[in-house]
Amino acid sequence: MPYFTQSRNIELSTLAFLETNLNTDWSGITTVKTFKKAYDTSTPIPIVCCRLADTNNARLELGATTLENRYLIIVDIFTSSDAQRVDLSDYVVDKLRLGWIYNTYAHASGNKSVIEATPAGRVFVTNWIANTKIDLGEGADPKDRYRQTISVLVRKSS
Amino acid sequence: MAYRVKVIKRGNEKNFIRDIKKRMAHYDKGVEIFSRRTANYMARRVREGVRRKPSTGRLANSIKSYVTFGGGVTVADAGRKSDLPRYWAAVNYGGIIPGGGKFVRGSFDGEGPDAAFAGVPGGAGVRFKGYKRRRGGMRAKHFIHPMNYIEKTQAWFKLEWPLYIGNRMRKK
Repeated sequence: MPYFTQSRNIELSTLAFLETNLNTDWSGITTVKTFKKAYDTSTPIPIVCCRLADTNNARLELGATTLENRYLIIVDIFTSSDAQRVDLSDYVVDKLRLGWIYNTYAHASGNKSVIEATPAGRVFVTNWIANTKIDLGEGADPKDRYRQTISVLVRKSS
Repeated sequence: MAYRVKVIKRGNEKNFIRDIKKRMAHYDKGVEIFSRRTANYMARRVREGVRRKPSTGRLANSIKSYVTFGGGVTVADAGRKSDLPRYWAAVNYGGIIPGGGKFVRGSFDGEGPDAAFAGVPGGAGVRFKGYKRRRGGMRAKHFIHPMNYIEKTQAWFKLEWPLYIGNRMRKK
């Protein structure tokens, strides 16, 4: 398939949006898409891990065949202190609240290792699900010690 | 939010109050039904998210629904912390088991410690069992993938509940 599907576009657009903003306003923050990379020993904290966790399919209207999908985006924040955890999570929430650009992604012609983004609308947060500190208990790993999770339901503008 | 204002004639108060009570009972029953449905949904998401099968099913089976009525307020819970096994957070949020890297005595399905480990042929499908007296055991090195069964259920709830209760109250 030459073009990426809407689910992948939503995930990549969100990741790109957060990465661009974090690189501009903060320093030394790694943005990743998978837990594997977040827990890689070569990835230092602070880390922002943004991924698509689930898709809810719903009909746009009664009798329609068009779907209005809602995507569950989860942003996990791994930091080195409680203060940084709070600051970074507030920053992420503040950025997400206004929505961001939806890009369609495709492989560059003749070069599969490069993907090209084309703006094609916006992504909006429709529901705020959670913004919680994660406490895995006594003896938690240094990466899990100051963690926050933010989960939102989003949709693409029609 | 839309409000419906009903004007009643004097003398019809009893009927009006009876109607309100009936509707409230209908609403409460809806809360109870949906609370069970939510707990079932959460348990299903846990079962679907199991990466190494067979699982004990302990976490999924411990998710139950509760409804409490009183003082004009109906509260519904799906999955109480006190019912859940200790590892509910690690399974939901993912991460490294606290004390990760710690040596845990035991073996896979009661066999010898070298019998079947993950990544070894024949390792899939067997379950690690802790035996304090065993000489062998394992050291958990990898992180747990997040299942996010709570967030998935919350997202589902936010979309489904307004539709369900709206339909139910319209039918009445």
